[in-house]
Formats: sequence, structure tokens, C-alpha cells
Amino acid sequence: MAVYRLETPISEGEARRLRAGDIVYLTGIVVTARDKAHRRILEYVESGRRLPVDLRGGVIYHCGPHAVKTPGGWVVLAAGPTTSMRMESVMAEVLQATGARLVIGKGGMGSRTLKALMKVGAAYAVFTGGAGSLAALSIKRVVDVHWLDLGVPEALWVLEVEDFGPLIVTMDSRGSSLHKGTGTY
Amino acid sequence: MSLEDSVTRAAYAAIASAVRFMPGDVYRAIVRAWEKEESPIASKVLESMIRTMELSCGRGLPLCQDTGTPHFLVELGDGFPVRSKLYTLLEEAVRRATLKGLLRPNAVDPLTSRNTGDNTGLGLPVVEVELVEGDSLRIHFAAKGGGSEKPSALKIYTPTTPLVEAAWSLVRESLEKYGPLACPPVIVGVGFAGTAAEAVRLSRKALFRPVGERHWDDRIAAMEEELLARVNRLGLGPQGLGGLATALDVKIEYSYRHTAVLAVAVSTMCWSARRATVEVLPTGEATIVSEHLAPSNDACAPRRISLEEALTPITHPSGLVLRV
Repeated sequence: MAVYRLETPISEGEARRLRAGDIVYLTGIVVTARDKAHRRILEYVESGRRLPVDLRGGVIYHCGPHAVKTPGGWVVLAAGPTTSMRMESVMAEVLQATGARLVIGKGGMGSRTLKALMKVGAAYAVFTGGAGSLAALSIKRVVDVHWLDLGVPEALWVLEVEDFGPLIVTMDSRGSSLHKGTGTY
Repeated sequence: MSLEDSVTRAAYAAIASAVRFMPGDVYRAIVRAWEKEESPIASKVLESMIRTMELSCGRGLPLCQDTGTPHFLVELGDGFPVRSKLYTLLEEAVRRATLKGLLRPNAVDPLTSRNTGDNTGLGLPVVEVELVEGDSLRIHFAAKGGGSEKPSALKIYTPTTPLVEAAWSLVRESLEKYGPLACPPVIVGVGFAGTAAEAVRLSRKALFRPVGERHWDDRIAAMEEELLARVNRLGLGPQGLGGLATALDVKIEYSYRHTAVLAVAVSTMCWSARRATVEVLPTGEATIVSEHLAPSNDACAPRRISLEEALTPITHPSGLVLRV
């Protein structure tokens, strides 16, 4: 159980070094995406449109933040993970299309995603579900938000984080997974 | 302030305390689970949960971004003057709590997926009313996270099946399939009844009873303990990553059934079991009767809190202070 402090962008080598059971603290940029955003990412890629944010070496966070708009801009009050299995049917394609190196969520994902992690060189980590205020503590700033037409939880939030964690790597690029009963969606 | 305003204010205070100040029974149960846990990963997860609860206590931040489906269970006394207007008042409390940042807007039209932006809509918030003796109004509020709906299950058993075995087969099946999605250690609610709808209703009502509090019927109390022990031998553990704590408690509610029907339902509540209870008297006087993790001297401890404390501003990590 190694402990890593990673900064974005994450290289393929760094992502491939991560093993199930490792702990990560992350500094840099994470981009939130839920069901609808995943689908829109694929629509964009299929139609040749440029994504509003470059995800190469990036981190996709399965999260619908609880954010409020203040006169000084958006403020995130809580930002724990959402259930990753809802994204299982499209995760492999999104990883291929974006070049992201780390997916953060909760509950684990299935065999399609695991295969994609091995192929592209990426890892999946969980942040403790329900630890919303703990996540908010490590968010330094809302850099940007796209696709707000999908609703606040479903939008693409670009967040600057510092020492975001503990993230527990549960699926790695060697095909190891700590998840057994993740169910099907 | 009119009595109607007092009811709205009390419901608002219940929301404000539930989503930020963890019920004392839940906090204690998580700390106990952490003390017992042996796996390093499970301990790390439980540690994050404890840090989250203490952080929210100190800063008044919402505990979890998924403030769930707002759910009210109301005990309406015979002598309490506000009757059908209650629905509108509770809806108003939810709307205000959303606009003030206490609740994330989660309500969407099922046909278009359009978010209404204020957690209200057809049938929302969920309000169940029970008529009771007395003059007062008791409002139990729970914020039930979306993931915790996934293990919900219902099955009609042959009445010759022993009760405990019927419950166990359904609980085990739903937790093994979907437990990790409901943010374990969960609270498991079980309902036994003679109709499907009643079993489901009772399984959800069971989730409102505090962790550690046993059923008044000793036979059911024994069954709760038996099922809890079995659930925690499943080994799913915190967040489904393996460990001792799969459930914080198992709660059962039951009603008499049709001789040919044994309906069993299972509902689960995430570890972040955010609930609160307020009582309003016909004079308008309101109190929060549930215990919550709240600032005490320089630390956080479970205790009763006042309505004013429930409305403590949010102190965001950036230094920004938001009035609620």
C-alpha cells in the first residue's frame, strides 16, 4: 500500500505505476462528469467537436458538486463522489476518447472499464462516498463550469484541488480490482 | 410570527441541522466501527467519514453533496391547528433550503430530465402524515441519498417461510448485488406486511429510528440483532472495500398480514444518515428534539441544539460566510 502525491497532468508511466490498494493525494485539476456529461463527451468526439476542456493526462471525477453562485462566483460546498457504475456502459469509450489517466468515483466499475484501464494506461480510485465537505476542503477554486444546461449536478465542473484525498486506488492498469459486488445498472 | 411561519421555520431548521450536523447516534456508530475495524483500507475510509462529520460540524458545511430526496414523516396531533396547509409549508421549507444552498437541486421531470432547480415538483418533497393523539406536530426529516435507493427490494414469500429467513434472503441478495452503491456501512430497513405497498412503507419508516434503538416488540428486537450480525459477516465493509462494518444497524417494522401473503421489503440508508426531528406546539414554540454533532467548547460532541444553532452560517474553507 504505497502512498503517492500526484500532480496533474498525470503521465502514462505514473498512471501505470498505481496498484490497487495504493493511496493517492491529488493536486491540480479535476473535471467532474456524471451520466449526461459522459454521453455528451462522446457526442462531441463522434461529431469531431473539440471538448471545452482538455482531458489528456487529466482526471475525471464522478461527482455532482453541490455548488452555489455567489457575487464572487461559484462556490463548492460539498463534492463527494457519485456511483460510478452508472457510467459503466460508456466509460471505456470516454477513456479512449479523452486520454484521461485517472477516474475517481465510488462503488467501483465493471470489466469493460477494467479492460480499458489496462489498454490506455489509467487507474480508477475511490474517494469515500458521503465525504462531501472533506472534498470541498481540498477544492481551492472553481476554474470553470461548462454545460450548465444539464443542471448543476450534471455539468462539467473544472476544479482546482490541493491534496485531494485519501483516494484509494481500487482498479489498476494490470487488471486488478478490489471490487467484487458492484452490481449492474 | 404566525403558526404557519413557525412550522415552515421549524421544518427549515430540521433540514439545516440534518444535512450539516450528523445525528449523534450515527456519529457514535461510525466512531465505534472505526475503533473495531482491522483492515487498513476500511479504517482509512471510516477515518474520512469521521473527518467529514467533524468538518461539517465546525463549519456548518453540508455533509454530502447529494442531499438526496427530501423526505418528511409527520406526526400530526389531533389538536394541532395547521392541517392540509402542511404540505405547502413543507414544500416552502424545501424550496428555501435549496435557494440558500443547504440542499442541492435534485428534482427532475421524469419525462424531460429537466431540473426544477428547487427540489420541488409533482410529489416532491415526499410527505407522509400520521395522525396521532395530542396537540403537537412532530416533523421527522431525512435526506436520503440517491445511491441508497439502489438496493431497495420487495418480494412476496410463501407464509411458511420463517420470517427471519425471508428477511435474510432478501437483505443478503440486495446487499451483495448493490450494497457498495449505497455508501456502506448502511442502515438496513426491513418491512413485513400483508401487502407490497405496506411492506415498502414500513421498511422506509424503519430507517427513521435511531441506530442502537431496538424495536418495542422483543421478538422483532432479537431478529434485528440476528440480522445485523449476519449482515456484518458478509464482509462488504465500508464503501464495499472489505471490512467488518457493512451495516450500522438493521431496523424492522411490521404489521399484521393476510394469511396467504408474506410481503417483505428492504430499504437502505447511506452511512450519512442525515435526519432530524422537530416538535412544534400550537403556541408556535418549536424545538429540535434529535441529538446532533455540534460544536462543544473547542471540539464537536453529540448534543441537543437550538433552532438558532441549526441556522448557523456556512463558513466555507475559502473564508466566505454564507447565511442560511
